[in-house]
Amino acid sequence: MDGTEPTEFDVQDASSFRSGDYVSPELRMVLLDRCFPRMLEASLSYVPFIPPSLLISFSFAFFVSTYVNLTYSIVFMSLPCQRAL
Amino acid sequence: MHSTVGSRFRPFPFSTIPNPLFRKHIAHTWYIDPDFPYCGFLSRDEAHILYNLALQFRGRRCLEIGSHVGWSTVHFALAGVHLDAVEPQLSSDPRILLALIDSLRRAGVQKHVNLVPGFSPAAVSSLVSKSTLSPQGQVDPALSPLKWAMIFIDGNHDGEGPLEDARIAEVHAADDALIMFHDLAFPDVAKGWRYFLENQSWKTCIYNTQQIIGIAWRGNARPIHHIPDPTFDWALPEHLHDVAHLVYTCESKGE
Repeated sequence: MDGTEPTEFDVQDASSFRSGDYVSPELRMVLLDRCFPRMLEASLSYVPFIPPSLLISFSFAFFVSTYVNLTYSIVFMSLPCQRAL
Repeated sequence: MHSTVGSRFRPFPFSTIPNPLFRKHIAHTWYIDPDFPYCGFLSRDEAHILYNLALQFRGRRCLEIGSHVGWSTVHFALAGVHLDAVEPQLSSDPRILLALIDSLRRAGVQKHVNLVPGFSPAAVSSLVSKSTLSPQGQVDPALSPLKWAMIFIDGNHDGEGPLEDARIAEVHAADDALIMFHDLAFPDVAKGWRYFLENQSWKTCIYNTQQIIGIAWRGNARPIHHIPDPTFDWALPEHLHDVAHLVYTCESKGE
């Protein structure tokens, strides 16, 4: 090191400290938000996980039930016609 | 960095934390780079633990495994160390490289950080091998292989990855060295830290932070004092119950 490197940042950066931020007392502080201008606070929520196998099963079941329903409907609707004939 | 590792989890919507191993009940602000939302930053408390631990190694050579966009890298380097930073995405995603270089430049530490693209532990081994080569590319017995004074491990969180990182860290650690693991909330990462727990020549402790930090040290290296945020219940996850006595407390300060 040549002794010119920054080791602490200005107190103005302390304005970036948010209510959910915590740093243990006695630790030497260095706030670097200005080095990361794109940083954002993320929300604390989970995304429910659906296993791919379950997703495929549901899709398959939906496809089959739709096919059966359609087939049944066509057959059922055609019955009166057949009777009429 | 909080990895969303389990590849089965997808970052949707972008502002959410998809991994159930994230300790949601510790409601410290969690930051991300929106361009890379699948991987978050160390909490401020964790980043300051890294920085303060590194201050005792000013001027010495240190290693980081897993840099992402440089949040931990900059905190580490600002302590005044010479840092080798291993990150596989540096070669696979040019945007990560640009973001990391930009962060280093803004902090004024670019010339003190050696970026190493590649996966650990292979990239670490390669770095050590190169350190013994002469400018002509031949092994020079006069050159000692690299030894790092502090190693921060926040890379592969799955399977044997953390354990492999622990093994190579132990081999290439200096006599006075400190190893820091982030994300002990992940059972596989905890296995990596336990490698040092079972090694008599190392001392170990845990810092109760958002994602839990584990450290190991030997020689003249020392842990730092840390007080967890008193507003939260700091119960450890089940896989760490047997090491609850190693959580750093105020009573540990005198040791």
